[in-house]
Amino acid sequence: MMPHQTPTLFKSLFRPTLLSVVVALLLLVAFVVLAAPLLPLHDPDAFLSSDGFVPPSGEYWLGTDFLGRDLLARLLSSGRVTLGMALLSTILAHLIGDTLGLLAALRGGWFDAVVSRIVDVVLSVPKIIAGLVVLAVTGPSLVAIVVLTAVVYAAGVFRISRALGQDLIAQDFITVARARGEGNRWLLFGEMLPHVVMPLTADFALRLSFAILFMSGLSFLGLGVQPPMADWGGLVRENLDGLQIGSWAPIYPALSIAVVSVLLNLFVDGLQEREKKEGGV
Amino acid sequence: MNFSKISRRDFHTLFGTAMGTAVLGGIPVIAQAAGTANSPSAMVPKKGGRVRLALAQQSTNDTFDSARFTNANDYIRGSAVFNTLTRVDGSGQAQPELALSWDANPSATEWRFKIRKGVEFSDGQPLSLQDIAFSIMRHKNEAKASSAKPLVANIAAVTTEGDDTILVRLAEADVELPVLLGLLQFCVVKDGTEDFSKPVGTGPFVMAEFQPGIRTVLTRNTNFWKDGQPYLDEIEMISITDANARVSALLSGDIDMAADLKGAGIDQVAANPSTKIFETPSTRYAGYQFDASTNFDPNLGLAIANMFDRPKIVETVLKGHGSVANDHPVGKMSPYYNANLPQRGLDLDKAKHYLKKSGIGRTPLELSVSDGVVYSVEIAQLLQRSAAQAGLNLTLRREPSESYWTAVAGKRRFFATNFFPRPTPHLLLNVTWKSGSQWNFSHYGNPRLDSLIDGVRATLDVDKRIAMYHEIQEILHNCGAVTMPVFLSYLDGVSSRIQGLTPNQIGNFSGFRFSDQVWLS
Amino acid sequence: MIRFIVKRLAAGVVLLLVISLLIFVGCEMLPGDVAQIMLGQSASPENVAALRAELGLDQPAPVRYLAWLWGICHGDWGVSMTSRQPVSVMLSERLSNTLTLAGLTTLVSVPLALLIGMVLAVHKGTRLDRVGTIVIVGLCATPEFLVATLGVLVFSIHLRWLPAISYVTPGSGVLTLIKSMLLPLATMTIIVTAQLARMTRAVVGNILTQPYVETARLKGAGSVRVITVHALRNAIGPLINIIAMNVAYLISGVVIVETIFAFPGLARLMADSVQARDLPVVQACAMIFSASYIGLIMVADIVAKLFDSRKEPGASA
Repeated sequence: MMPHQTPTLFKSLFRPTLLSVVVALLLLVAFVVLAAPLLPLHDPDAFLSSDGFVPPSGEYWLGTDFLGRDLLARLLSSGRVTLGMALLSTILAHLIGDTLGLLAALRGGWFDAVVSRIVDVVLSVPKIIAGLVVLAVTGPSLVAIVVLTAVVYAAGVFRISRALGQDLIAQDFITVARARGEGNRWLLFGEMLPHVVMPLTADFALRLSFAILFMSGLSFLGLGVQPPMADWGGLVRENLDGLQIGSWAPIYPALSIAVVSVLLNLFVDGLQEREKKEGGV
Repeated sequence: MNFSKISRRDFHTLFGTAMGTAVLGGIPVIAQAAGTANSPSAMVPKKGGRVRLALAQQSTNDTFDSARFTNANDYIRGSAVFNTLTRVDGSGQAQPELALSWDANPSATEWRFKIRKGVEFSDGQPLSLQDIAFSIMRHKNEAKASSAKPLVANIAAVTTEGDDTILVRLAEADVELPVLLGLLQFCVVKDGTEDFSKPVGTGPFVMAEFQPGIRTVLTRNTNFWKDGQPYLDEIEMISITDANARVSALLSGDIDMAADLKGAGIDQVAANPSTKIFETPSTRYAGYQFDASTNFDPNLGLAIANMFDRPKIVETVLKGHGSVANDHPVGKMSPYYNANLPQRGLDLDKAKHYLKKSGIGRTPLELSVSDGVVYSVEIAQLLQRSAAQAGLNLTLRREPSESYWTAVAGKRRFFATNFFPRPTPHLLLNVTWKSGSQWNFSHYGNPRLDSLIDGVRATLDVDKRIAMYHEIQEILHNCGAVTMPVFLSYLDGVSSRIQGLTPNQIGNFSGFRFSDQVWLS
Repeated sequence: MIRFIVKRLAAGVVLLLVISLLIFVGCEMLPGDVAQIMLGQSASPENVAALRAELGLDQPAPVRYLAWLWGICHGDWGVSMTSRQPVSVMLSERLSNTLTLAGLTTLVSVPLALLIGMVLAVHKGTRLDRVGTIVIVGLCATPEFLVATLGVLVFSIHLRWLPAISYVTPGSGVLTLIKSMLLPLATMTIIVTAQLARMTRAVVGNILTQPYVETARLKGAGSVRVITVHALRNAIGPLINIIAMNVAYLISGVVIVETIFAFPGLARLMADSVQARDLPVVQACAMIFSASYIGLIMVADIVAKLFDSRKEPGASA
């Protein structure tokens, strides 16, 4: 059954194109951020001007930050930190969440019950408060921040992958495979995983943008990345008072977070539409 | 910001040193009042009005018990409700408050204080000599947790003489006891007071409402012994932790006084016609200390000392609101200042020389910093730059501010500190650099320094004392356990209507004691 | 149904117990202790020991935990270690502040978000949807401290319409109260509406592509009718869950907004208490947060079950 009225030629052309444009833009962001050290930019940690918040000029394209460092260079170098940490923690969150979630769906019983209760506990503690307590104990190291973010978000991933897994279990092919005498490992990786890759990829992209925001909240509370390094949230935070004298310094990193998030969301949308179409054919 | 860090000040170190922005023609305050002028006609105090004051730190720890005072808000609250025997003025001298006059025996081991008569507590009960004796001696009570314990260690006994004199007997000589008793730890309370939830004092205000961590409302004590004072009807203290939010609230008129301005907010407050900056130059110093007890190499400290571009720190980080220091806590204006010590600056060659001697190579050195240590995060980033240029792999670790002073300072290998000025130089040195003292975060032990520190308290000959102070500065300057690159001014913002603030480098807003002298124009 | 509710309630209580233990252990592990923090760095070992004894901290940890648990069961939240006030007194004003802000935000943002989300879902794929989604996602991705600061800059400092701090004196008039809460309210509303609208769009959009909705459409039902009758009823389950999560977030997770507006709420109290190691207050806040989360999710589950006619057609009572 076709989900929509007959798609016009334009639409069918436009849809995949939008997805590829989004992917291209995301790759571009990744490239710029990764290639920043090779670009002819100022040293992101060098104190170039004694005045803070120098307005944009030929020398400093985005102006300087509150301590007179080149904002563009800092924006790109902190982009590497932000995206790198968010990516790492989201991958970790999915590794933990997906494995446990699918296993819980597959095995059910006490395993499912125990893990589900643990996840309930994790979910019922406010994320930022958990961050406060945990980082007060461990100290705000990069590893601690990544692991904390991963664990906090793994709980949500678990719920989704478990629900997806349960839907699959109810379907025939798993029963058939079980009847064939396949082991759990085969069921998990051979039968279930291919069917949940799409929705989990969509969740991955969304959670990536949450992770960026969560870490920026930690930075606001002074528990984020350590100076002189900063993530985008930290960059917003440390330059926030510039707003009062009309500096755009905190706006650029905030825009960067927003742009990446919008791109990720468009990516998810595009992915889902494409999947729907393919599934419909 | 934690005000219990003892710090020191000299008698005459009011001005600190003027670097960058100028100290205006000997007037110690740089009151940049745009719009309203501090014209003499505006100087006649007016009665009435209420003031809302926002501090950086208020917590559920807030108290009226002076034995437990830790933060600026405690000192302000305490000075509003209570009095002390003396009051340390802007030039560091003890002035009469509850005590009218005082004198000592020639060896400065016995002090007699003549107490003002006719003073009443806010509930009408007269002030007795017993109350005063209790207020000092309660800090010696073993069962009582008091931050003033080290301060009273030298006090042997407090007794009363006649109907208006108390006698303080000391274990060892102290020429500066009247200044010590002007500290707000020695707020005068009623004899036997244990419960401070409903404080009763002889101060200019009485507590109307007190919610720790949320608000304190103080109303005028109609029974106050100073004629015509206080001028304000009411003071409300609230907490705005975020520095930007504090500036916003001041600019929008929601509050009248904001403690501790930072960054771009300073310019905003200065430029706005309805607000002004109240700056108090001070010898509050930023310190970068090593733990000298384990794995300590003075060469490393001396290398660090040569890595600070001090004028640049004053310019870039402090925006001119501070001055260059020379790795010891004595300011240039002090009579005890040692001018023979060469001023240290950025010298990468020397830094490399000491680094080589230390043999640290590329081993990372971690420096702990915190928002709880004013400007340490920013200054450390400048230090990190020069360290990289000198070949030292310096990493920063930002620690949570509230637990910094218990879990970090003195517990890590290399950490930032800052100490607030206190009225006597001896007081600071006694508790920060003497072997075994509580705030000797470097765990530094030097018998010669110890004997000099004890010596300055008991030495009545001024020239001898100066010579001893010079040697103390030289020892600290060269010890490598601590680097003190800059002194930091207090920078508060107030509404242009606020009048009567006089700088006192002990703390924000006239050394915390603004409540009975401020009025609204 | 009643069995379901009882079962959920019991699970909730067990969960709370586990969380209280978790928080207790977490606080035990925090570096520095309350006695030392109260005395500042001046504290001598004797001073600290004296205060520790005064506070009962010299008791072994399990004893303190059980004593606290016993108190809770009798409605006694204990006494704050730092302020020596009963915890219940410290909580009362902040709890009502927090609940007022959370409640008002919910009242404004939930209808708004549902409306926006559904409009976008119906027009999925159109330019309206694309632009609207980008705006919403952009707002979702803007750090709340930036939204708040911009609001202060415009409405407090430049226009001088609203106070820059949301500091409420009890007994002040309703108008003052509303005025001082407007900026944090607007900040939270923007954030929560954007998040809710995004999810509503996804949920409703998903349902609109389901076969039975298509069937209804083919039968000639209009867009509005399809939305209200078919889609919304089926969307209630997932939506109510999302709303519950957001309300829980409003109660516990607004520490940043509370900081910027100096709003005396619960989240800030908890954050401060964590740093002051004031265990009774931390425990109390954590219990309130967790209980509100568990309670809200439970209500959401029950409501969802009531409306869920699809999975279990004859849901027994």
